[in-house]
Amino acid sequence: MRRRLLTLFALTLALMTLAGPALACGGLLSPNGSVNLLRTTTLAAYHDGIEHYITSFRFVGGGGAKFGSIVPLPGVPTDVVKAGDWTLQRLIREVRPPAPEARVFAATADSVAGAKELLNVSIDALDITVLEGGAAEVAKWATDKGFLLSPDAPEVLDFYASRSPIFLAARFDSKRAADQGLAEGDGTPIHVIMPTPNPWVPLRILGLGKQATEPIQADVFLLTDRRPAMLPAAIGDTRVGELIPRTSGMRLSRSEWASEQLLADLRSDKGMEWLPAKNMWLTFLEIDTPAGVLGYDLAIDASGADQPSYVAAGLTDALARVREIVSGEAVSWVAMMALGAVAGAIAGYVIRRRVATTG
Amino acid sequence: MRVASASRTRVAAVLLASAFAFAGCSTGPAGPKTIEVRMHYSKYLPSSLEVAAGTTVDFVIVNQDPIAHEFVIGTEAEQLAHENGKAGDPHTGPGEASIPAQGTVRLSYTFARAGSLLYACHVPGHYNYGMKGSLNVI
Repeated sequence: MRRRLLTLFALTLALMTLAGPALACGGLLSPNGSVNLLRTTTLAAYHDGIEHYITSFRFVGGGGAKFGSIVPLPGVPTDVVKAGDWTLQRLIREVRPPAPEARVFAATADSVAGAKELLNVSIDALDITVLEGGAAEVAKWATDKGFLLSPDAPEVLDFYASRSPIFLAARFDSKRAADQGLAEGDGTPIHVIMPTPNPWVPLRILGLGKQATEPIQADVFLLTDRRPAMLPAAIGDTRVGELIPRTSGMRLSRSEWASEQLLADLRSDKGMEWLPAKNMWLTFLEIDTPAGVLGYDLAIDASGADQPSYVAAGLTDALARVREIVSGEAVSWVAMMALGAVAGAIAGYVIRRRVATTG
Repeated sequence: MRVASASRTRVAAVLLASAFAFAGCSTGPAGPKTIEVRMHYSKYLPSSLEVAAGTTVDFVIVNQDPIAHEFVIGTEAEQLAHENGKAGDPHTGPGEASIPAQGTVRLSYTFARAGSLLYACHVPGHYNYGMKGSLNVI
């Protein structure tokens, strides 16, 4: 028993120190400094109509005492809580198992009117606020709180607010972090619980405040009751037709039933008991693209209908193009049917005349 | 006879005044001209302008964005000085205006001589984002 506990402890240490996800979405900047956001890792798990969105905020740099991040949401969360300690790390381990020597090393290493505020929660050094409002209201809220929005913020906030007026702002209080003994760079995982008809992962927000050529790298894990349909289509997604918009910046690296071992491990983390013990589909997407190209979100249809929403993906231009093509085809069919009817009428007339003449 | 002389004097005065007025039109400063410049998604619309030297322009600057912007007229060297913090802050000199989020500001500026100028925003990050326009004074 003791040996088992020691093994579990060592495993937990290894998970906590390996590939610590440096996460966050688009930055709210303090007037005194900028925030460098490293690789982002997100889990969007969906079961019984509830999306469990788990991400972690880790800020590197920042200069000023206040900085933060903003995440658009598809719906109003019923709760925002601190996520378990190692769910994201366990998922990373599932898709990127450490090399044996890394494991040994890790095991021994230490580890306008402003927007309406719907929910306020403090988690470690993060002050989380769920906001409801349009781009102007959210921008005013951020400005009133002393943040400086990047010049691309008006367009990006409009991009989201036109579809869902719900945002989650996470503000990092470096003084509180120091009081709590948190070092700069420590990650704080959060778990957003929200009812929604389908899961959704905001991606474009990752480029907020970045230069167009700056690379955006992110790991996105999905856990769904069945194999999901996604939009835009990732490299390696073979289930989509020619008309579906594809992106070269997102690779489908894993698409399979999640092992019961993985689910059991995840279920044993804090706040993860809702996860079914079996029959969950694991999807792993790797995003690696310049910020200027990341103009979309990840729309997911987990219902089995294979109809991910163009609007949810932010691909309304592509939707218009598809409609044009489809309506063009419809017009072609109508024209062909009309031509057929005219040809039939002419043929009928000719035949009747011949019959009359010979008669 | 006196009437005819007075009439001739009036005609001469009118002709002289017309001549002065004509001369004023051709060589003196032009009357004020109003130009509307909008700011949307941290870009200027229009992104280029052309005005005649000697013209006084009343700029109506409309900020449609939910964040504050600036409208600063100057040569490229002057714009770089603003960027590098060598031109004083806030930017409230002649040809400079700060426009609050979703606000409108009027700014009058006389373009004394021909040359190539820029109008730009120096809120941190905005100039590098491309928030500038070209202003050709002919």
